[in-house]
Amino acid sequence: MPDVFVSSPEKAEKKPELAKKETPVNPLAAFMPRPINLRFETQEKKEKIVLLLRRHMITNIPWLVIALIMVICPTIIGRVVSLDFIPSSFRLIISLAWYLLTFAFAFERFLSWFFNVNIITDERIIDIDFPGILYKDISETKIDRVQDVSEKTGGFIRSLFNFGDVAIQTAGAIPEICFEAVPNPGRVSQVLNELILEEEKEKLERRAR
Amino acid sequence: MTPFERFVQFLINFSPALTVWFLVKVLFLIGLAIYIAFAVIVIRQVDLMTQALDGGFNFPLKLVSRIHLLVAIAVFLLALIIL
Repeated sequence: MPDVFVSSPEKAEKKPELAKKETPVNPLAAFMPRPINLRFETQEKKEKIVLLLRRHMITNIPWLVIALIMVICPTIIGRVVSLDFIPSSFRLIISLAWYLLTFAFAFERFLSWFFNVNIITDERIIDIDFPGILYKDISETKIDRVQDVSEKTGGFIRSLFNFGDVAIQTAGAIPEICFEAVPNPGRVSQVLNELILEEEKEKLERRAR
Repeated sequence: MTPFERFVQFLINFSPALTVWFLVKVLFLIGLAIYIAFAVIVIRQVDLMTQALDGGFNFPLKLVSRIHLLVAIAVFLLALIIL
């Protein structure tokens, strides 16, 4: 009797396109297929990162504009309002304190963007969030628990720069993992679907044995 | 003269403008001391974040967070001296 569910070795080795090629890491990229020299806290030894995602670079524009305004603010105020009634030593310290605050604001926002990542490995999907200072929130689910993947892109800016949300419904304790404002949402859901198919094939092969 | 009376005398002898700037100085020093505490927390936060995601960009970030603390301390000391 022919084995229906036994795939040929060629097919068994077939991996998602993104899983094949490793790319050198641009540490500031928002879409990183197979990043090298990058690990996350709960990564297992044999587990490989297929895709690392951050919010699209364009989502940083609002805080960058605010930081820029904060930088030029003292110069503008100095020209508009006469601050001669303030002793020069106080003026110096006020300026320094203001620039410290500006730096702290920009640095915090950058850290928030840089470390809030979504990771797809060959085994799991991980969402690392830092909602506030010293708070860490890691949600993860196994690929074989994913039930549905949907993507959402809407609006002028999102369509123009091709970024959007990818919602992953799971059968685990966390009903939904959402990748917010990630670049190439279509490609992301395609990779996820490929990984789910691959996982299903592996399951069938295991059953056939 | 009791210590309280001496304190009242000290306040009376102070010119109003000087008292205002003295208060502002104290407020600035308190604010900058709080900022130093915040800079220490930022270092802890960066360490926590780099632990969660270990990549090639971690060293510069750790360096920046530590320089930030040093600058905060320097500004505090400068305020203590020149104000």
